[in-house]
Amino acid sequence: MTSPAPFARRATSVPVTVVTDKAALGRFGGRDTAVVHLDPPLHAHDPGTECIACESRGNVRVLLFELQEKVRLGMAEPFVRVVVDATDVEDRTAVADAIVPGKLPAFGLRDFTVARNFHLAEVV
Amino acid sequence: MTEAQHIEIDRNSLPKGEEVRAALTQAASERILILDGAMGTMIQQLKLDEAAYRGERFKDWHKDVRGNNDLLNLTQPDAIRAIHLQYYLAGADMVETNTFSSTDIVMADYGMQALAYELNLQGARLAREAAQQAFDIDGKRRFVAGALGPLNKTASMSTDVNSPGHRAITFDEIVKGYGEQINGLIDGGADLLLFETITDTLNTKAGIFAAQRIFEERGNELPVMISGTITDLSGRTLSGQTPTAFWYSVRHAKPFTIGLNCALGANAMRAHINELSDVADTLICAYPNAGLPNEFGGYDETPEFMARQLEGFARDGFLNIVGGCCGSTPDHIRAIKEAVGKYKPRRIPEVPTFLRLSGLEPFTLTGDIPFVNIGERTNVTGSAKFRKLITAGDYTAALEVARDQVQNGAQVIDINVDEGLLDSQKVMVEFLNLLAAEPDIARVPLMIDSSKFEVIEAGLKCVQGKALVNSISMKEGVEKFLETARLVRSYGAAVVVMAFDEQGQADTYERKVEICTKAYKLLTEEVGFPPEDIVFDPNIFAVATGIEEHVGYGIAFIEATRTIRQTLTHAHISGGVSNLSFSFRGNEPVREAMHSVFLYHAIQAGMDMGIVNAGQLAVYDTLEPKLREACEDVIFNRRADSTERLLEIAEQFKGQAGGEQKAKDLTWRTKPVAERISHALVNGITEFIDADTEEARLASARPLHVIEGPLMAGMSVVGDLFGSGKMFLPQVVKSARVMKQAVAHLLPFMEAEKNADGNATGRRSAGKVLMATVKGDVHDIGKNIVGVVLSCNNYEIIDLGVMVPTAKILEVAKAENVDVIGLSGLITPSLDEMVHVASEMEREGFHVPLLIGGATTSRVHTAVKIHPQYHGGPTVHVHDASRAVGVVSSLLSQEQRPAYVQDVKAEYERLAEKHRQSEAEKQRTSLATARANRFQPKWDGYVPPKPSFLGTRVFENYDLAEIARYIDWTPFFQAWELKGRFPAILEDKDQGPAARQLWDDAQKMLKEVIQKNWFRPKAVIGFWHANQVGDDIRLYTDADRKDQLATFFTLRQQLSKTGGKPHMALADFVAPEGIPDYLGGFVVTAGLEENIIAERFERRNDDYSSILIKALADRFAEAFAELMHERVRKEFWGYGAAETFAPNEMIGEPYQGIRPAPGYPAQPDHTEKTTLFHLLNAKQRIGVELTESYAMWPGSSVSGMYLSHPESFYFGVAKVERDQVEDYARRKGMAIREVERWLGPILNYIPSSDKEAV
Repeated sequence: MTSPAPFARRATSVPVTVVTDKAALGRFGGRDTAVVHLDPPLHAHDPGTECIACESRGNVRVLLFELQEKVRLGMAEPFVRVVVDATDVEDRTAVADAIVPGKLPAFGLRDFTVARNFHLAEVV
Repeated sequence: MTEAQHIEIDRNSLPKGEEVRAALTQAASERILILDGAMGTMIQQLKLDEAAYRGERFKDWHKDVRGNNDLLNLTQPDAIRAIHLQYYLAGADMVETNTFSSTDIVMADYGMQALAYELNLQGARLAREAAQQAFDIDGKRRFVAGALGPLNKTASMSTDVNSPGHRAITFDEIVKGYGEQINGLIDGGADLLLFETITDTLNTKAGIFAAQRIFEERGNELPVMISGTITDLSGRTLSGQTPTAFWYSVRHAKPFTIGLNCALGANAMRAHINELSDVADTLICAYPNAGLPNEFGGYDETPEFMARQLEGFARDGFLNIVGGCCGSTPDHIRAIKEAVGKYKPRRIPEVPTFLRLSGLEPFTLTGDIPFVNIGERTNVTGSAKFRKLITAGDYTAALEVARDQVQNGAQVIDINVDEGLLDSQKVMVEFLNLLAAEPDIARVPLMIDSSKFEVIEAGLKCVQGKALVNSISMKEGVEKFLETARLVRSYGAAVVVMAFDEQGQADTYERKVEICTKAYKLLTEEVGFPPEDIVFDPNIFAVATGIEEHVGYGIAFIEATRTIRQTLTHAHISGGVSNLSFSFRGNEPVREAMHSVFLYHAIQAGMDMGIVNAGQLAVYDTLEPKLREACEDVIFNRRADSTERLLEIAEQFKGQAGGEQKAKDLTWRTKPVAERISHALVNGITEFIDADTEEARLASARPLHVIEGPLMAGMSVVGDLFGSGKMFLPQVVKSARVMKQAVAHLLPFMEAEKNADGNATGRRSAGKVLMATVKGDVHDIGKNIVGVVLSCNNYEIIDLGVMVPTAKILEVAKAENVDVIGLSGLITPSLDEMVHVASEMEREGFHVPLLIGGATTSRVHTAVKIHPQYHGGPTVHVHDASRAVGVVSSLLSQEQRPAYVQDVKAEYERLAEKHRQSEAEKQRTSLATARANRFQPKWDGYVPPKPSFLGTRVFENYDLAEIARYIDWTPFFQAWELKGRFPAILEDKDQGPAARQLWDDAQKMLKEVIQKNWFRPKAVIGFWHANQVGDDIRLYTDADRKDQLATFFTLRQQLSKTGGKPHMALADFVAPEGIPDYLGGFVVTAGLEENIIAERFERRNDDYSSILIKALADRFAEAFAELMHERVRKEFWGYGAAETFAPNEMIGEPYQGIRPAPGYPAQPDHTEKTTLFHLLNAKQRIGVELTESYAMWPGSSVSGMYLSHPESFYFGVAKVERDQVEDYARRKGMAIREVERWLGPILNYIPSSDKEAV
């Protein structure tokens, strides 16, 4: 018997909706929903050379991980879905790609945590 | 010349590590030392272009090199030297060489891997020259720190989350890369080494390994500084470690400093430096960035601002060495030096000597931890399950075993894959690499366990934390021992040493102490092993074996432990306890007692670690005194006849286990009834219950009286009405909700009373009932209802939830001393699991009644299969919740029980006998006859419809209102034991009022579900090329129909048929080979949210709403399946495009095609779900998975196949004969026994395994 791929997202994986349309933003929210706002980078970078500060503003993986950490530490309310407000970000496909497992390389252990605990539900 | 250049080195003129260390230590004791600032920021200011980077030597290089700052050591040496000098003159005591990326590994990006050595050599020389220039100017000594930056590849993580076991680089490659860099730095005149901006601890451990080897070869050990980077809000490195865990992982390097650099500004670093400052018994070095980059790529913090922040670090005593990272300049360094100059350097704290290990998080064996229980479930020699999984290569399940152990509190987990048939070295590496990507497992330290040192070494190369090695010994002599110990130390691990030498394993006190003492001396004096990192295993051997030489083994271990702990300071003692009782295999109570007695004394003597199954340990104080004494006699070898005496006592305990049973007082204390409370209870009104309860409390002497008085009286009215069929389940559950609220109101007063007066007695229940849905099953609505009904009648319910393993049921039953055990299950494999629980109860000597309930259970099954397994107490099938109270009260009543039990027993024996007889008399149709009479639609000229797509498709975010239109309400009322069809039931003469009320409540909740999007239904469907082959449906990869994709096996009816009716099998509905036909499949789920919401209600004491939401979730799953089936017929398969049925018309299934599910009548074999789930990839795509009994989780899920044939219909396979089971097993490649197990309920014969048992 062959073993299935060892990667498996959790059954409790939280759906993430990426919203790029400002007008649609109002439809999302409410109880049990966490909203993550992506800030645009502070300044231009060559591809792959994002500085740590811009990364922490716009890296959806970092923000999702931190969101989860906050809940773990009791600093935020538990949630069952996440809405990512990407209306201020230019490269919206990159935001979605960062949530699809394996599409962009992992740089830290947190990327594994995020891949297991979150999944892309839709891009609006 | 662009190749690497050969350079002569005069090694005698290079700095001597010992002298550098002495000088630095002296200086650091007097003041806070200053490190330089950023090199990159200064280079950026030079605004060099591509040509400047290339210089003359690399003008024709085949790749762009702008940005390769380290290359400037060769092409712009004067500029680099000048920057170093600026920093020295700004006040830096040491500068970092410009060699951040100078390994062959990183330089490969520029094709310059061959230049690595030279870049380091020249980099160190430039800094050295600048140090000399500075000395010439002001006469002060300066130091050169050879900088080793992070790599662009990591040894502890994969870059692809989809293949977490993959590694882009190995430990050995990093040793080589950093080794070359270190040699270059040393040859260029570096005074010390600085590993900096560490994002992956395992990479650095390889660097430390390389450095130590080189120091040894050269006979010159330079001081080493280590500086990590914390990037996350969570305060972790990129590879996931906390600062303290990081420190424990690299502490074996005995670094001159530990600290942090880079990342965010000083403010963000402060808490983490503070943490390190408290735990590190070495100097602290901090060099943060100059704040955050701004819009222009520059940095925000001015020299003054940054200096002020770092001054705070110095004032609070965190600093020994300070500097700056990205964005800092000589001005910053000057300001920092000035700001911190007036403060005394941090004093190295006294850090107590403890064993300190780490995973992602630290573990310290402090005095508060009397005993470390090492998880042994991930040891192939300790766990048959783990061995099976590892042998089968099922790493996913093997990781689950590890996860369970950590979740159950293991502080360290033992990993052993020494299985003869496997390449255990390879398996160790694969497993550890996968484990590293699981943060909730990897957080604890690992014990890397193998009898082969190559396996241990391979494992040590995979872990970033500080592991514990199990084990090394002097078995092959002292030389080999020292060699392995040195290696263990250079990988930074602690070690278990077995008391074993060339003469063999130590068995006497003297030999144990002698060998351990010798090993201790060698390790601490020759290898430099910290004594707290040594764990001795002085061998636990079997006692009471009847062999004279063995009598002293127990006491020898305990006494050796005492001596070793007293004489070999800081060393620890571990051992595998289960060996001790080897001669009592099969007698668990005695084994448990022996282990418990042994550990009790061994722990007192100083044993502080062990591989023990904590779940199977009796409590020393609660052991039967005679047994305890006999165990002690054996362990301490106190009497000549101690073995005989223990053997004698052991006989009495055989087949028994704790948990003596007490009959409870059944009488409730009745007091005058408060009418309002009774009314509220009977009518399920919560609105005024708090106020009423409060009023009753004020009128009562004690709050308890309110419960035992009006509340209980009211509930007894409810019970009577329910018992006589005048109330229905939904109403009773609502009454229970009122009751719970009233009790919740009283609880704080009862607590207060208890605190004020220690004697207050608690509420007395009529008996304790343990309830559980058995392992592999997830359905619990029925069980919850029974629980509520019983609790209404003053029984205390211990509900263990769903998927409860047998061991847990028995453990809790013993610990809680329950009066009744109730098992529940919905799917057929659960029947088998219940038989297992019954036989285990028998084995463990239980006497309490066992209740069996759930949709697939039956009186006959209980009588034939379960009842014969359990003789200790009565087994009773409970048909529905309304019977539960009667059964339990009869069983717990002293007066009624004997007669009742006798009746049930007689009844079950009669049923079993009847079953046996009817077996013998059955008419049987052979498989061949049945096949000859198969269903044969006209295939000639029939063209099966082709689906609009092949492969799979996922549906998410479905509109709940749309799904709700498809709900079939009849089963919803059935779940509440209201019998009748919807909507007629609403008008039913008796049940009508209850049904209408339930309907109203359900509609209210349904509205909320839809408005608030409480469920997140998901579906995955698929279509494949398929044909009938015999009784099976074969799937193909493509239209050629040559390569098989999978096979669905189907079962054929073998009932005797009249009127020429065919013997059906699902395969009959699919066209035979030659006619292209198709099969569909689906899994839909209402999602996991139901559980979250149901729990929320439970916490609010609202079982009614909790059960309601679960029943609704079930309906949603079914409705979603119905909806998807409609879309399949109309759109995706398309053959029913002309259908016009409204959703409520579909309940009678008037349409073409069926969607049968494995585990249901048309295909009773649940295991077929595996194929379906595999094809649809249901777990990954929509989060629905199968339990070991093939139940679906989340519970509100539906799966099945789609069949399109116009004549297809639902039928029941009913019973199958042995010939078909044998044929089916052969087709499916399963053992006959295994097939019989899964088809148990539909076998039309008694399988041979059962016959043996009878």
